[in-house]
Amino acid sequence: MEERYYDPRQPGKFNFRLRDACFSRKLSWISIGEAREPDRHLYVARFVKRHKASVEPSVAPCPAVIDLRLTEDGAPAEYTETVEPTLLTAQTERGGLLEVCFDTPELLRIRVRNAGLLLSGSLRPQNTVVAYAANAYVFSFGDVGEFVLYGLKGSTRLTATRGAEGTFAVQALPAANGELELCLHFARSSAKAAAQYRPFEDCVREAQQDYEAWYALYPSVSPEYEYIKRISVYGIWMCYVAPGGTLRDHAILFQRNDCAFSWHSAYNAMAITRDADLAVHMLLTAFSYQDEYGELPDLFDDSHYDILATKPPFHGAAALWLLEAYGDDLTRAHCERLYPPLERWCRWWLTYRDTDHNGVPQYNQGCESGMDTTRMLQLGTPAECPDLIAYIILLEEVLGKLAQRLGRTEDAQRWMKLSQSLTDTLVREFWAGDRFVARLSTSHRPAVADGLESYAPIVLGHRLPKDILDSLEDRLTRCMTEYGLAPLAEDGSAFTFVDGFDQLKCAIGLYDAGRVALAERVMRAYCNANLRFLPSFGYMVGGPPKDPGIQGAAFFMDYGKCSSLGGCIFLTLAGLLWHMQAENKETEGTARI
Amino acid sequence: MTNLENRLPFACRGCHLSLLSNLADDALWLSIARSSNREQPRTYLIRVAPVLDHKELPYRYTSDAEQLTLSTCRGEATFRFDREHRLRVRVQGISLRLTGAMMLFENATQTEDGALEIGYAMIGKLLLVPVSGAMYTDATWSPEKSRSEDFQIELIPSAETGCAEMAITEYYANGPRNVPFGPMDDCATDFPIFCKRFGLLRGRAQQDAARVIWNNSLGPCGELSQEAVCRSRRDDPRVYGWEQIVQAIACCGEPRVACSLLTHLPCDAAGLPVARMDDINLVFAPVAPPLLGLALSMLLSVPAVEWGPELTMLYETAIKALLWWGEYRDRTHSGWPQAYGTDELPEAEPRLAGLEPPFRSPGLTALLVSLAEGCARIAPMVGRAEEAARWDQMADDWTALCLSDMAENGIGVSSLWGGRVPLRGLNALLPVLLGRRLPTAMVETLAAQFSEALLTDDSPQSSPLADVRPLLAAIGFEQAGRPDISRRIALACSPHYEQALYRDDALQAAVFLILRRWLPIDEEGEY
Repeated sequence: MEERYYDPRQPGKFNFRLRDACFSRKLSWISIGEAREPDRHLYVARFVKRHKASVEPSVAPCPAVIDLRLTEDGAPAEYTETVEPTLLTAQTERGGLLEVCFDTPELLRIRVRNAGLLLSGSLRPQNTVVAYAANAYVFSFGDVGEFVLYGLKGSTRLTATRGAEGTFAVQALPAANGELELCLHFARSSAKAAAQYRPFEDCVREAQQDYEAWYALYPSVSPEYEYIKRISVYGIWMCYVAPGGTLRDHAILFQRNDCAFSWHSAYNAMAITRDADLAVHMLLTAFSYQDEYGELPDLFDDSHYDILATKPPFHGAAALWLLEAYGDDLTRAHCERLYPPLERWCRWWLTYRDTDHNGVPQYNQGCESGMDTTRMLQLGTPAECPDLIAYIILLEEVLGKLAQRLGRTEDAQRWMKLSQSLTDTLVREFWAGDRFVARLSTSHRPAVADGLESYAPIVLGHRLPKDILDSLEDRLTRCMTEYGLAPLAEDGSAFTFVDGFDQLKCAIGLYDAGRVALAERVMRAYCNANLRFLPSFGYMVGGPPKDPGIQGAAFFMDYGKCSSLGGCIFLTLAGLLWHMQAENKETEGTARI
Repeated sequence: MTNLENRLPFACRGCHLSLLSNLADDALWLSIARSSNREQPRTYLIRVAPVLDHKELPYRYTSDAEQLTLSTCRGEATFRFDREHRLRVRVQGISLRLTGAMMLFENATQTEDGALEIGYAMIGKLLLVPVSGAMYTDATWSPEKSRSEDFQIELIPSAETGCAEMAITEYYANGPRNVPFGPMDDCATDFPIFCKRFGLLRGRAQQDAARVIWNNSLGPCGELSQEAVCRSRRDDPRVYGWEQIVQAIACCGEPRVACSLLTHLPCDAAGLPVARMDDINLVFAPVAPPLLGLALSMLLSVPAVEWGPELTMLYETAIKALLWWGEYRDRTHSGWPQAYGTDELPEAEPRLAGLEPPFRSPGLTALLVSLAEGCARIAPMVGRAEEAARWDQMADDWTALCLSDMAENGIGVSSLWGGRVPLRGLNALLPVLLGRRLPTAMVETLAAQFSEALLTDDSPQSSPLADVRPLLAAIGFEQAGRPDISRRIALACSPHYEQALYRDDALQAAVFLILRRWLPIDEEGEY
């Protein structure tokens, strides 16, 4: 494996390892990964989440549907791979060369020189592999979907065993001139070969242009973060999938082999700083499954959605960010698109999650908070929690601002009044002198939690009184680790995990409150952790002192590496850092003048 | 369990919630007919038991479409569905205990108005609202486990009246709240109206078959744009595309209802009908044999139907399916559609496992001929007469290929890559689906080969249609001019389907009802 490289002149030219990120592209539902067992080989994946109730959280098993092995003299050959965003190559010592690119999001082009390629896998009951013509095959994998393999150059031969535990193998061999070229089409059903195929190089070029157009959506970052920016953009680009199946709109998957979580679209929207239209679209991808009552699901993809628990309404904070970032570039049309779904979302919280009708929303269970094991719910449910209140304050405020832009003055005033009133309630009833507390709905019995959870309303920034901000700044400073803010429990019992949600929430709140030094410290530490370990869901500081089991340390090891979520949080923070540095330079320049 | 009908879930058309007995422990359980994982269905969610003085009481229960009554020596509990699809519960003289286990992330949350919402991952939610008496629960959220603890709920009668009532609403995400509760005694179902689609129902078994289908009718909701019939709440609560065709044939008493079952299922962009679905999921594989032509012929044989726009929708559905087979199952344009696996064949022949697909089979070809013929018959009825010739030509061409193949090679399934498996038993009769297109001599040969013994062959379930092959043969013989054979099939098979319907199998119930077409029935409905 070569070291990381990138071409400063071409954003689309850089490499990465398949163990860090699979090979895919925007709008596609298929990807190529690398397996280590039983031998090192590539595979084509189409991930379908298998949902079943479980006792422990689980990470999906290897999602291979077709294994790919370069062969020489009929036997699998060792290879060295080079992976760039739009071209995957694998080379053997004897000169065999495999190249893979995407022609369209659902068409892989495979080119081999001086070697064979073995495509193989297992067949579950009701899966089929059929040779429907010479060099043409249909693979049907039930709810995973259907592939058509079509040979352009070289020859192919199928062997298959059928039954309860069937297998298939298609051995593809090069023509006399050493060339072998295959096309692999994917569809959920009714996959079909094309009438004709364009040159391989054209496909690579077009994909690269597409990646570079996507790259241009994101903010500038310091030069030392350039590589991380590229792989972050790649992680988002390949997780942005097309509608299909039960999915009515585009979606942003959390990571390539997982589904979309409804609040991630808010974080992804914040990272897009150079296209208001796409930023608004990205934010609203979460609303594709919004139900008639206004609720958003927890997670979804093209074959299911789970609405057992929803996720926090961070969309208000994100929409405010967009209003600020884009100014007048966020047009009336954008506001018209944003207002109705956000309003329904807010109203759902204010009705279905406020059963004591006191205007303060509640969580009915831990997963709704985004922190499944939150100590804020230690006394039970329903509980009114400060982080949720802060999100609703921002959601109401953005609804007020959107209504104002839309000329709906009365609505604007009402939302702003609600927002201010809830802020007052938060400060008056939930601030305990050195932290925010949660409380049970109705009885209002307080639940006191440790660490970052208690400081979550920092996201409100300047909306909080100075004395509270002073206290929070002091408290947050104590939570600083080398990678950023960690949910350090005062008794030291919890594992020290620095996650991206907390960094973003706290950094933008501190920045908004004018606590710039700490904001910069948080962002710098977190971006440097990204630089060291690649964008991820978060980072463990010093190893886990104690694994609490459910969603404990073991679950988070390598979780979300090169994910869209990891990437967009890095891009937002690194972009804000760059912006702050630019502001500082301007200030210094002014002073010198 | 004292009788077969008690094994049927107590359910309601259009409602995912039901109360059913667990055959393993004979207890009653609340169940939601939505399965996120077919391999590990969670049918039994909340155990229901009568209690007095904190002790469970022995009980018996009886149910019909309107009410389930659970009787103990000290009192009783009654269950009915109201018009809002809420399960209404009333206890008299006893308490009712509901016990449930929670999995990761699942919650049981009390609200200030005394209600309790229980959420299950990928299955749905239940809202339990006390209407009178008292409802207590020990449900609590555990942050460490990231789920609610396993819970108990007790519905306790008031001291004054000795009575308590509760309502249970099921929804996937959210449901309407604060809808007033009418008197429980006023709850009535639409079962009698529903039954009209089956024509006159004679005897208990036919009534129960209709109830099984009524029980398993879900939607419209989510991906189910109209009502559809799932296989079985107990074992597989999903809607199979091809089974809707059998259900449609069963309700030819109301052709428009049948039409709705056929036209509202989703198909992919290429025209392939959905393989299986529920309100939150749809899957297009495996491809099922094209039974739609049989439904068209049955529907068009119903006299004096004044068709409206639904016939145009049916025509569009039919030609999409027909063209899909012509294109995606004959990718090389050989002129002869193929099956890409045994699942796509009506023949259930285990020896096909040794044959390399794609397959050409007389049964599949006959079904496609029937579909093309149906399209040709409907085309002029919907003002598109000019298209009929195309469908007629397809039917003629496929018939010619099929007859020629059988004349040369006998009745068998052949592989595109060589090799052939001769068909035997019931499978060898399926060319009769060519109906009147089959030469008389061949009809007579097939009729002569028929014996009741063929119907009881226990070949492995190598085709999803294995269980409905007798029905296919009966339809085929009728269309080929030998309804006497159809009658013999119906007489021989009806007892089998009658038994099967009590496994809460809506498909078997539908076949049972269709077979009445050929039965000599006395007034009691015995055969």
